[in-house]
Amino acid sequence: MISVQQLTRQFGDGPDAVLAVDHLSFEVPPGEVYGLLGPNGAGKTTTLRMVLGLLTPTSGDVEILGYRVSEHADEVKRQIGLVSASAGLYQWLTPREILEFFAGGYGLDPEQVQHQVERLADLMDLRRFLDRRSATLSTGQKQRVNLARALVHDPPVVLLDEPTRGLDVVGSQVVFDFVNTLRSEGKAIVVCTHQLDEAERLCDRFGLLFRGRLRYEGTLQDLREQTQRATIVEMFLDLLRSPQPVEVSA
Amino acid sequence: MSGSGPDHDSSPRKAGTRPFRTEKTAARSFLHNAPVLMKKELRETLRDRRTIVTLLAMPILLYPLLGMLFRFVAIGQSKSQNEPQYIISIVTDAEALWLNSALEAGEAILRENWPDRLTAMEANPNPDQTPAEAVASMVRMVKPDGDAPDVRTLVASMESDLVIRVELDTVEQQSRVRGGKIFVTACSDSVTSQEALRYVEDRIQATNLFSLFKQARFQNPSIQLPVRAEYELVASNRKSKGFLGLMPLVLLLMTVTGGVYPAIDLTAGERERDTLETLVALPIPRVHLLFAKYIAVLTVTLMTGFINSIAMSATVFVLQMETQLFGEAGLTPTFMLSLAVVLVVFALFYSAVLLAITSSSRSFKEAQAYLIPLMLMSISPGLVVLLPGWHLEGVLAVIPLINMLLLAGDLFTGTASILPATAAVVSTLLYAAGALALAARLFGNDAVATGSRGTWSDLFQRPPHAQTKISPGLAATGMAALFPLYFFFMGLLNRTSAAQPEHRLILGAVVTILLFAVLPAGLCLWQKVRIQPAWRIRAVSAQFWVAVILLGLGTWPLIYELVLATRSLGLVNLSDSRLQQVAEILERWKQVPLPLMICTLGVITGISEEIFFRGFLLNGLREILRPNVSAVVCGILFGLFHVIAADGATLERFLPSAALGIVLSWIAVRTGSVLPGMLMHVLHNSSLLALAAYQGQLSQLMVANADQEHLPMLWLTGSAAIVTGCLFWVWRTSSENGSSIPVLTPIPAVNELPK
Ligand SMILES: Nc1ncnc2c1ncn2[C@@H]1O[C@H](COP(=O)(O)OP(=O)(O)O)[C@@H](O)[C@H]1O
Ligand SMILES: [Mg+2]
Repeated sequence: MISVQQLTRQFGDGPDAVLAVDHLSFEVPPGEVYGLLGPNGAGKTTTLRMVLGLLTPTSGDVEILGYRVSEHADEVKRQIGLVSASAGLYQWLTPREILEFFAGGYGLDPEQVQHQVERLADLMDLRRFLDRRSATLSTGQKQRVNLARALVHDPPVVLLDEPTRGLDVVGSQVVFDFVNTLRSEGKAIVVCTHQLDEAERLCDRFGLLFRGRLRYEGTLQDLREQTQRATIVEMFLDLLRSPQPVEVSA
Repeated sequence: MSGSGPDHDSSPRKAGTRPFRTEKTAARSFLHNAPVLMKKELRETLRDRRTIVTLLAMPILLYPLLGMLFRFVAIGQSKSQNEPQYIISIVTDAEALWLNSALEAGEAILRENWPDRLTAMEANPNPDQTPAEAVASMVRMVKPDGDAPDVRTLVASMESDLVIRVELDTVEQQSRVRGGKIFVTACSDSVTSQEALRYVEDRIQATNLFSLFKQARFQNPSIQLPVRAEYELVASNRKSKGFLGLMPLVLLLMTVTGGVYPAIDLTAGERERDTLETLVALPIPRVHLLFAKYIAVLTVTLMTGFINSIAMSATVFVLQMETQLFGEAGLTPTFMLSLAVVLVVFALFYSAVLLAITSSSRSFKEAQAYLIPLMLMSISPGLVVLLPGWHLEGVLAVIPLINMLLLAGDLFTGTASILPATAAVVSTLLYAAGALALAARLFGNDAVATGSRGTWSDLFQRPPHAQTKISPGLAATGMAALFPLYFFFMGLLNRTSAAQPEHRLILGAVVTILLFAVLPAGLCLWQKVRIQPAWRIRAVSAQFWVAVILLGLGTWPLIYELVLATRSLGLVNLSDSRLQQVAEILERWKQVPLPLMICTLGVITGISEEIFFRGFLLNGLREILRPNVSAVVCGILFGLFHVIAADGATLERFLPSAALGIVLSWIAVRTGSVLPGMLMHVLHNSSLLALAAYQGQLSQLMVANADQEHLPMLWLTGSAAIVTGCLFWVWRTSSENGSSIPVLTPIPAVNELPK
């Protein structure tokens, strides 16, 4: 479903060059939640942007449902829903108008647009503020609109970038439920986060990203066997201490 | 999480979870995306209070205020003209009465074209009350305080402009006016006092002269004054713009203020509020996103312009200032229409500039910081333009911003003329296209989506890989650069080498090469565009060469007739002086050896223009337009360029040049190469030049039709047959995207070789 192949991105030239993502490869089948974990600056957001085609890779490619992002950028975008903690809402529009706009932007016809707005209003519990100006919504409400917006074209692939950042326990629980619903619908999901404990509960498989490189990959079971550590936090602490870059195993 | 979730790999996807696939095939056109995008952009801006304020509140407040101010100034002026101006101190009522009647008599005489009307005047010495009124409105006589006022102090303190004492004659004279002697005291360094003195003097002299003349006539009825004069007063047509000059400036600037806020909000605002990333994640080309924003900004700008025009007209109407503002005719439909055109063109231009600036800024603050210099830059030329004597002419017509301000100013004073106006409008539209192309590049940058620095310096970044195609933006940039550069160089040429036609020709050829060949080549090198494939420099099959040779040699009679037709339609009125001028130019050119003419104006011009218009511009246009549409657009631009750029341009060049341009573009499209058109262009230009050189012989040939100057019917039929035949031949043996259908031996295209 998602296939990331030797993805690399460098920012800048010469001495200031930053290798944000370094020959990153992973695959996510349908119905799996893949956790791309790493501290701030590890290259998670950059990776997602390249998957979406918002950023051109220095080298490497991404394939979504057989479409290469380098060749069929628009087709790839149509397959992907993006949830980003930093994403804002158009403050002068209502949630309904925002959903309608994005649904139209993905090329849905007016009937489908209405159907999706109704479905998502129920699914994400937006009814109470569906026709209120977005600027007046609370953080939690905004986050629900953002989650709904990502599903407006019913994409088979969903990318989540720090989906729980800035949310309280209730808000985070909404996100967990959201991800579990998507998994049960058979979507391929990538969750990027630096909140490792949270990720342990949420994801099926993990890629540990450090300085743009994938250091460990596998289920929690696999990781524990590889690293002899119980938690992902401990694994990262090891990585931080290790002076030598550690190669991806297997 | 040891269960690690169910394995969905093999499970079939549920029908409900499949994404909607409405348009699987090609990218949706802008027209598809536009409704959705426009709705959102317009909702977003029009709901914003800040937009509404600039849109509605500003004009509703500003124009009435300006109107009041205007009226205040105007009233102040008329007051100072009509109210008693000169204060004359005079001691007794009798003296005042006498002086008044003397002044009135003088006024009456001055108002007549005397002495022609002398007889009439004698019959009816006091035709109407006008002289009395006129005097009363100019002079106010006051009695000084006190019995013996100090005359000098009165004048020196400027309390009075003049002090006059009168000694009346005791003896009744023959004259209608009783005699008397006046003693006048005036102030030597007060302008008003001097004017008052002259005023009194003029009238007294007139009375005296009139009286003398009458006496002389009495002695000798045939006597005449040595110098007789008649005067006529005509209002100037070069009206001083004065306060009115502000109006176009205010209208245009107010119009564009409407677009400022939306432009910031829809670009920098998206980035600041982190909505940009989800927007560009839509499967919609960024050019479409930007274009929707452009239309939104433009819409708000036009609405602002519309509301401002209404507010201005309403103010003018309510305060009854039509004639003061727009002359005797008042607000005519023609004026309104031309003003609307200027407003639309200006809005098209300014909206694009605004977007180009805001597209590179990350935040509101940054965008505002960029826009303040722009606004100042717009106001300062505006103020210069207010100075009298500035009109839309020459190079000014292609200077962005200034040309539109001048055009609006000329419209207001009713002195606009069609040619510079066209130049101003066309060049401004080109600048708008250029600015929009810049905005699209800035908005399309990687950096835009990721929120890092996307700045103007990105514009000067070269693409990492070699390109084989000319982007529409690059083509627009080239076109926008061509106009001012052309005017600049031509102006330079006119100054330096007017004397020798040969020198002019050679320098002109150098300029032609620089602008039409070196400029596009430089732009392509800068953007790493490989020239040969991008300009479509390819060999073509032999039948095309034959066709273009025939076309090149056989088209001129048709083009010539088209010129005549344009003339006879009355679309163009060539004045006699203009014809004279053309004839003189032709005469001078005739002294130049024909080979030099053909080499410069035929070969060099033909090849260079083809490089620019067909190699560079057409191929850029083809990236966004269908081949045939781009051929027509390119042809029209070619025609417009010739109208505007021609030395002393005339509209009559438009139709022929555009027609030729369309044919050349179409041939470039059909043959898939820029080369055949070059040959045709060179041959066409050269045959025209050769013809002009042998024009004497030619007119003898055409003696039958000499008065109408039409070509013999046979020639025209022949030319039409050649043109249609060749075009049909090219059409039959080529396909729309320019690959030839082999008829003779096909020659492989040069650039098809693998790299
Ligand atoms: N547009 C950009 N320009 C330059 N450097 C960037 C840009 N975006 C990200 N980086 C750098 O790339 C690295 C990875 O960033 P990012 O992908 O945002 O990390 P994460 O999302 O894992 O916190 C960081 O060092 C960051 O500074
Ligand atoms: Mg991040």
